[in-house]
Amino acid sequence: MTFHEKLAWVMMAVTGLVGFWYGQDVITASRDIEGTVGPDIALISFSTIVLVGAAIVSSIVFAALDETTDPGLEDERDRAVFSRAGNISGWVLSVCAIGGLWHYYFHADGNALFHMVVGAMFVATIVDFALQIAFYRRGG
Amino acid sequence: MAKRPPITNRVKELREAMDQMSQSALAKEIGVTRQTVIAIEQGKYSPSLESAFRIARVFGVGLEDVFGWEGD
Repeated sequence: MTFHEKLAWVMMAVTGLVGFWYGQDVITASRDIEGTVGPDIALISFSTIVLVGAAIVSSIVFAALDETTDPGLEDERDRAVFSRAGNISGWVLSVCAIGGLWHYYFHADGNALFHMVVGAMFVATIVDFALQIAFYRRGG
Repeated sequence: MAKRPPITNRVKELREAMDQMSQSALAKEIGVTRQTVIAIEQGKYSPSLESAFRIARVFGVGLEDVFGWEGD
């Protein structure tokens, strides 16, 4: 398994957990006020810190565990995998964001739009990592 | 299941014939990861033209001595 594939597994799991936790928090808070809760910068900041921290820690751990792998090396197969996964996840992000815009058009709920765009970013990121794994497993 | 590329190769055979050259050593020579060499040897990944030339040059043979088209 390549360094990048291992990282994709960890980051897909962490992004899924953080996204689930973010969604749960927004849904619970929205139920309490019987509307859509506004953007919470503390929640966004904490999610970002967790994701960046997980990426840094897992990179260090994988690099330390496998000394034969150069974590900085990104070869032609890696670039092809990232390019294809990024292209498809970009479409996923666009489609989800457009869904949010349509929701705003009919309901004029800016808070919901914000959370839908954040959700779209989580979904697109998870799809990106999942596709990276799938492409690596397939060969490239 | 993804369709395999129709390109065959003798990378493993040539590598082993070259004093049991390791996959890591070949990877270093051509500037890719060991996992990419594994994927090439398994026929799961077709390298770029540049890497194909690099591989052929490492073994000191022509491109067609390393790579072929399935069925030819």
